[in-house]
Amino acid sequence: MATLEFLLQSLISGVLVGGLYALISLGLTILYGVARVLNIAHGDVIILGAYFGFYMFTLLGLNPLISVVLAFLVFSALGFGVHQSLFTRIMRRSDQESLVSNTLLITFALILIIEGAEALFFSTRIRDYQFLVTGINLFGVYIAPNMLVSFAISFVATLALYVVFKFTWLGRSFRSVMDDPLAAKIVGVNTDRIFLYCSVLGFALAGMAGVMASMIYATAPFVGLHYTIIAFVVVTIAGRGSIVGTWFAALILGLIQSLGVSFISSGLQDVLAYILLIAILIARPQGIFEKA
Amino acid sequence: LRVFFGALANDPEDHDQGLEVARKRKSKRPESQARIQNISDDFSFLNKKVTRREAISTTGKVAIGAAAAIVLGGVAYAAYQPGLLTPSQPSSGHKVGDKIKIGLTISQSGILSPVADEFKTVYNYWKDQVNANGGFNLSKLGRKVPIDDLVIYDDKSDPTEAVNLYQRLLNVDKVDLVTSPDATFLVYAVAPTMEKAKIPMVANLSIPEPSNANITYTWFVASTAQGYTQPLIDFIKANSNTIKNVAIIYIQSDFPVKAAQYVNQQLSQAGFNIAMYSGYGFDANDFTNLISQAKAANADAFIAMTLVGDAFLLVKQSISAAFNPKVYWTLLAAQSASFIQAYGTEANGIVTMTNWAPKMNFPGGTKFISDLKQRLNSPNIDYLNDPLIYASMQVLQQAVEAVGDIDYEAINNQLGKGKFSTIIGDVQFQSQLNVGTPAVLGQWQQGATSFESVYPPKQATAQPVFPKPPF
Repeated sequence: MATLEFLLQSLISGVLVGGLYALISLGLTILYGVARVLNIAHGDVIILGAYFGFYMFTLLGLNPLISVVLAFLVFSALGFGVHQSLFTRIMRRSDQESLVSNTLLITFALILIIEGAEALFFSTRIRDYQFLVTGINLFGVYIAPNMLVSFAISFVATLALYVVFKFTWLGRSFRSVMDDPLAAKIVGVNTDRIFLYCSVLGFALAGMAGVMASMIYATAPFVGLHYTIIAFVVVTIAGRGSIVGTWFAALILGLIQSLGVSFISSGLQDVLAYILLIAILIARPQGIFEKA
Repeated sequence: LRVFFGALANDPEDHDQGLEVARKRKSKRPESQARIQNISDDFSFLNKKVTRREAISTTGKVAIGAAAAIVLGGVAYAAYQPGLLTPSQPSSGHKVGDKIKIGLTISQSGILSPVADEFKTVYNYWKDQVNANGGFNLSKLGRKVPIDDLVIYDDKSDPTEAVNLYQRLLNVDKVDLVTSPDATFLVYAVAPTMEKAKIPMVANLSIPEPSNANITYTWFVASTAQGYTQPLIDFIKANSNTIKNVAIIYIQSDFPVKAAQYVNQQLSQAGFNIAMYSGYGFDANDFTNLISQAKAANADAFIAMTLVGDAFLLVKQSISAAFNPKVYWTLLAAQSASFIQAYGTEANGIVTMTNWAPKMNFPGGTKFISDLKQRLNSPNIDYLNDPLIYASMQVLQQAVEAVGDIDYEAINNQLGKGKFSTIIGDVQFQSQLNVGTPAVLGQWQQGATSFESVYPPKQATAQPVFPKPPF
């Protein structure tokens, strides 16, 4: 394969994987970025979404593109339930400083509950299915349609969130709460409701990401941490609460990993991600896309 | 609650406030008032001033009392549980009760968990089969002894946890026999415990290289990395007229790395062009570039030394990239029911390592596969691991029955010299390794409806499908 063709393949792979990374990270960006809920169970919620996609496809024969819409609704309800039963209580009892550590502890418990329930109800077996697998040949470069679909969904979700955040009253409320919850409350923003919306959106996006991931990756309990780490790396690169930043940060991560695998060493995929994370933490701890 | 926590916090103010709240809420009920007054009296010490001398004296007394209680308690517990202070069970004279207790760990969480449920089913199936015949025939005791419910713990795919749990199995649960955890790195972690306790352990696993000389009580029923890849190497050599370029990729884990090194060395020496030799990490989530490289190198044989989850993604992305080498090998995963369920006909022609294929017709094999499919409620089983687990338990049972008693030293000797008839053939150990049932090359055929042994010809149940049909 010509070097140019190989470079093109690497770039496209990086961008497509980056698109999925963005979808994986958006939920955490909102939940952590706006509401300061450090949801380390984020990856496990994604796995739940992946199971949702798997069973909808294998049991009901439902197209994952429909499942992704259903997942938005189902996981919104889950987010609502978790917020009302767990997060509100923690938020009431925590100040700004302790909220992050308190939610970290409670979402750690959530990990154990979700993983245990998955193993119990879905068994520990690896689950996988084929949907839009046959590749498209574009001038010698192969593109997996399922990756393309996940990229498109990720793009649409990011765009929709950006529009809401930037141009609506609700978005202004989100941003004000992100900047200073107390000040937002003083000027009349219903912060409790915004926090609720954050949980609902955070879980809904995680569920969607799960359905998309299930088209590409095999699903099993106990692998949620992998997604959580990806999301944290992306959110750290992007900066807290930056929607567009998350999108670009995810693409940067995908590209660096892909090019690194192709042109440096195939064993370096994770190493490159962590090197990038450390470099960002040292050089710009607030993230690339957040103003200092 | 407020009164209670006020007291715990040793805060008189909280205590008083709590009482006040309680009084207001319960003021209409005289019995509640009385109860509140009692509580108030009980916690009145909170308002009492305590001198430094009194505080130090009281604390000292409590500390001495607590230390004495801990020491006495510890000595009493150790006396009751001698295994904690002394080396474990003596190797002979083990007293067998009404039932035989067998202990093991299965990784029910962590990276190895995907196979946990199936493994548990196989162990329990074996136990039920033995019990259906009355149990272990212990001739020296003159009776058959059934197996108790298996003592199974979750080692969380963690070697430290596994070691702790095996010590618990020996010293607290006092199991009569043990069998191995479900990964080589866990067995290596646990093996020293068995050496120390001088209790034999039959492992259903493979090891990367021929046995470590320090291991004398652990027996490996599966083959080595070399043993499992030898049929593949021989098959490629036998087809050297059409196979020229070989691409090898491997996950950076002990067994796959050793397997890759061995295949690389053997095929290089045989004059094949190793067009690609690349490792990848545990969290690799995109193989597109590696597949592109293999494709660009015109790989005739694609040898992927995978674990399980990575193999699923690799095959899926190979389908997307229309990557169709003549030989497509995955080390693990392709033998499993989950894989064939997910990939169906796409698995047709994929080759992999195995010891066993259903048509090999060893005694008990047909019944094993039909019973297990029924139990698992699945049209397929894991054709590598499930038979190995069952065979390893058959080996253990036969060794114990040959001795006629649970005498660990005698059982260990028997394992070293005996020949054991199992569903994967006659197992026989040499330097802790099973040399009786060599590995074979497994392949999915007939639209991936049939798992066959295809090489070497002597152990083949079908002709190899070569070249592999395109995805």
